[in-house]
Amino acid sequence: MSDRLLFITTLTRLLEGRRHVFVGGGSAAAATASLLQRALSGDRLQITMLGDKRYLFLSNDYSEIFNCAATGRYDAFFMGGGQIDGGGNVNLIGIGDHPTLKVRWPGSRGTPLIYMMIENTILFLEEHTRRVLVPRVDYISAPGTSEPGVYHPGGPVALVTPRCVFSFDRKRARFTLETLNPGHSLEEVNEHTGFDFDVAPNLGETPGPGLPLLELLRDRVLDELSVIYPQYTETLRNEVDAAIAAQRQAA
Amino acid sequence: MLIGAGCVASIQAGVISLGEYGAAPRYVAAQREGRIKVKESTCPAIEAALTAGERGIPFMPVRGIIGSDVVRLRSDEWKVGTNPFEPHDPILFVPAIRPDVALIHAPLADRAGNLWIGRNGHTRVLTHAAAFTIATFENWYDGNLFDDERMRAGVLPAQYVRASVHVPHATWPMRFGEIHAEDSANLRRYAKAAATQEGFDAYLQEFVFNERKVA
Repeated sequence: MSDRLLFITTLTRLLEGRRHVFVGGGSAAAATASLLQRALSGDRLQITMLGDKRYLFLSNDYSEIFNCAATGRYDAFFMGGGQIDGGGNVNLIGIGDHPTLKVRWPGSRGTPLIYMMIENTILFLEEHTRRVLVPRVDYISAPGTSEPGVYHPGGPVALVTPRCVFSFDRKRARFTLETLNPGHSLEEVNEHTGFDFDVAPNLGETPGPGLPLLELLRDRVLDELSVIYPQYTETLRNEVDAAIAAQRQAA
Repeated sequence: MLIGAGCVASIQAGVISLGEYGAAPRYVAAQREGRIKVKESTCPAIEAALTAGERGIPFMPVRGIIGSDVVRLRSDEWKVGTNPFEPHDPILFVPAIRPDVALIHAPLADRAGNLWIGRNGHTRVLTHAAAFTIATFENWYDGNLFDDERMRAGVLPAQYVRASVHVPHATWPMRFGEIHAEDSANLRRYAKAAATQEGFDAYLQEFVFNERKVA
């Protein structure tokens, strides 16, 4: 099982039961997970996705996405960041003092609105280090929680990394380590996480995909995905084939 | 590219990057060296400010964003106020943006000066907020765009447009909707060249000042 496949199937699982997911651009793993959950849901999950006109169900263009988010039309969203802290705050601005900054990232995009408005945001990072998971972000592009009274119906529910899966409690503004990916340990997660977090009393292992899910991915989703992310799809296809072969051999 | 060429004093945007080709190196360098003023922002705030601009009202409330450092970094212009109808609902107010000029590229133009911009809402709000628009366009449209009900909803009327110029593929090497794909090789070359001012200047010389014809 490749790390990437486990990552994707974890994101897929976290979308279970959702109605309408919004997926930003340049986000192949989130796109794959959304397409896979749509297939699993019997096409009940609706996907609005940047990068391909077939997934932009809008009268206008991108700007309408902010309106849809602010009126509660989406109930799931994927988001990454340059830094994430233990309060679920996300930094897409950079590091160092404004105005010159030491590190300049592309910018906050629409996240200061979208992250606060869409329920069930799944944070995901392809790097799990103290460089990214910090005690306190240098800049808050989008806050994880707000002062009482501030309209903030959305927020994070989970954080998925190559090492583990955290849940997020919005009332306490804290992450809880829920599962470790196979081959990773609590000591390792502690070593590479810059913020304090709770550990679930029943800390378990992140469940991997079974054969039916892998076959659904191979037989339907990879073709849908290849239209948007052709290069990514080809490398993923090899990993899916290998995982299916390994599971068949084990059975 | 305008930043790299030294033509920009101040900029506000939700995001500035080369997309798949990474960070925008001339922008990053200009900010680091203090050559441009960067007004940190977010897309829905700009959208709201332009909406106020097109309506001729002084400001617009916008949801969310409170608690983001973008608000702190713009505290000289933005205000967190109160919803006048619901006193326990703090809300962000952003002042109107009324650009002096909007620059766009449109798919179609007719002889009456109307442009067709389709469902491009960004372009619509930007051009409505600006004092006037200067456009390039891809193709001529035979007849008047207002005569066809199917086209009418996507028209930018001539009253907003100061001047338009027929320049097919003016967005090269960027993609243009579904009409032109991007020139990936050239964009890669740009991203590499723009890593240094010297490389950027050479690119500008070759592809902008010399107007080298590209297929």
